[in-house]
Amino acid sequence: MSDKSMNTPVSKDPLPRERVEWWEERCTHYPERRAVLLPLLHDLQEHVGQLTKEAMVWAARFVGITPVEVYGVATFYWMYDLEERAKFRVAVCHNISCALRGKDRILEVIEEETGLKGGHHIQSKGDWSVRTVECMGACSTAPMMEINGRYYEDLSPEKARQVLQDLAAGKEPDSTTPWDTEIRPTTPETLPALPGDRLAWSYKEEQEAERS
Amino acid sequence: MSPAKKASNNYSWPTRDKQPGHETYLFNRVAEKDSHLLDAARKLGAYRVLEESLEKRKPEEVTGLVKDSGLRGRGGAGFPCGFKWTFMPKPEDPRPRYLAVNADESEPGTCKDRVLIREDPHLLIEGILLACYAMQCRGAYIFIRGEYKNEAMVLQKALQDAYEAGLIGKDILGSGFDCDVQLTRGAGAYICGEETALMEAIEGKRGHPRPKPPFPAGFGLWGQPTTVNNIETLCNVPFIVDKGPDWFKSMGTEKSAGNVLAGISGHVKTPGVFEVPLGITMRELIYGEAYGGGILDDKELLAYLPGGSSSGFLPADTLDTPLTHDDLKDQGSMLGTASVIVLNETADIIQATRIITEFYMDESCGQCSQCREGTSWLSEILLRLEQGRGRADDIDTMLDLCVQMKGKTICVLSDAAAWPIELAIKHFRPAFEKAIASSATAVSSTASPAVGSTEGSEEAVR
Repeated sequence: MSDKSMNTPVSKDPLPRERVEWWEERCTHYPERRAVLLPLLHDLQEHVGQLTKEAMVWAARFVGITPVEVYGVATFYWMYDLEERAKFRVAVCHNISCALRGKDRILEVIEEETGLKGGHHIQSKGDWSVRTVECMGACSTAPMMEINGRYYEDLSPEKARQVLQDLAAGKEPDSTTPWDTEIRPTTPETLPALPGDRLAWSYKEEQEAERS
Repeated sequence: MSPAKKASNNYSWPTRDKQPGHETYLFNRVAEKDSHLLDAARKLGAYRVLEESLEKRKPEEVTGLVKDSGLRGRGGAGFPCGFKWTFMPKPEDPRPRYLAVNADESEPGTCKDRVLIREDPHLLIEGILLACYAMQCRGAYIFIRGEYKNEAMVLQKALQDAYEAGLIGKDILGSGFDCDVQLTRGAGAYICGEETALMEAIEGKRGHPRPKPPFPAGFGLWGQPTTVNNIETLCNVPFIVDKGPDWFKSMGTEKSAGNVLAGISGHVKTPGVFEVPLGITMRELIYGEAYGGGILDDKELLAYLPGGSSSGFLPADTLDTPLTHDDLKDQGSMLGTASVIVLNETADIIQATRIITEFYMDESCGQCSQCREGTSWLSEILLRLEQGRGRADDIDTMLDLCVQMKGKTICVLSDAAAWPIELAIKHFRPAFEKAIASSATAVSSTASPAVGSTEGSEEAVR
């Protein structure tokens, strides 16, 4: 990304007004505004669909750092997508526990259903993207796959096939992440706001007190 | 075999209802209905110890109880928890103090904290508040790994409920103690489980470990005194404060007191997360009816990792080793996160080592060249051994690389990558020699694959 492109003017907020206000409030809970960056990038990614240049420049201005610092953070963590995201993003764990319990058979099923061979680099076709990832913390219920933030654990090839077919048909397959939580492909990630008046302190108040 | 499901919330529940023959405490509430909700949790005794402590115990008393109990950190290093708390500056120091809570459980094979967060977040919050009270921290910052989206939602809901009930915030339960608890969700990086990288990530930066010293107790989050504790460690605190150090020391062994959450995965009949007293033998953990249930398909045991991927492979003749910090250290391994990964005779030790080494290559933050280059080279050597393109001096090259990688970097990820290879060669040298011998004809004429290229090497371990 060249310097010039990072100077792209951001004409409007990539987030709805109430989300921007919510993030403003979040910033007051930390000594530095930058501390909200990781969750903020998650939120931007869910709203915009991917971390666009504009979104990153906006985030940089919002927390008061340079765009290249935001780019550095966004490229350090694998969960941020700088490319366009597919509708269904499949991540299959290829670490030791899942490998021992047969992740290869799950990858075979995924290849049969989506035509994508899972590998270390993300591959996409149509509605689907597939990649293999490192340990996701479902080792005792291996093998597992994650699709759009939802875990599917203790898989057999048949179960994996059922999940993929159900998703393609617009159904809600049996998942170990309950469907009544807000992690849906179409809705933004929303962590409920904490009630501000109950907080032990707010740095904003503290700074204002110091000034006066 | 599918794990039993909790009727209340339909979450998969990787432990079974079998009654263990020993005292349990960490998991007692977890199996109850709606244990993740504030009302149900309070009926089951959540926040009672906090209430009592704020009323009648001084902060130093809480620290003293934890120190006397001999509780050792459950995040991997096994550092005595109460002792760590005493590193914080004296009360006269005007600087704000923070508690950083490590919920970035990313060690392969480890899934214990996930169960605690998802099923009993109020136990964790109570532990956090007690720790904050003991060290007089003004705030706790929880860093949860990005993959645990569901767990982050459960925990955030629990935090919100606790705020609304006056359990977190200003003047907690009328005691005059103020404490704020904030949750940050990461975005997927193993290195953020390292305490200084964790603090960098909470501050909104790349997860690069900081050089130590300065240690977190002197220069931590935003440059202020900070203590970093693991989820499971903090979950032990309410019980210790309630029942006393002597009760805690009645479980486990002299130098490793208490119960631990042991996750068993890989080639066992009944994988899961179990609460076991420290000092239980590996044999009982892997073969015991109440735990692993024996080797999958009744095969022979080839090797096991006693404490997550960094702990290294141990062979079957070490099965009578007790699960304690010191006994496993004597074996050249470590307790780590007490997450046992079992390999049966169908597994290929070279391939298993390669998978683990590629994990470290992938997760190396890239700051130190020993780690960044070393993990890549080790992966490449292991890959060519696995594919039958080994060279005569590969074993020596790997051991040499391991020596160069240990103790020379900012954090211990580099060491953690070297240990499993050293142990694998120590205990399974014939397998490596066989791989080299069978590929003797292919030496040096074959070009090695590009570093980092893992495609085409995805054959099944079993």
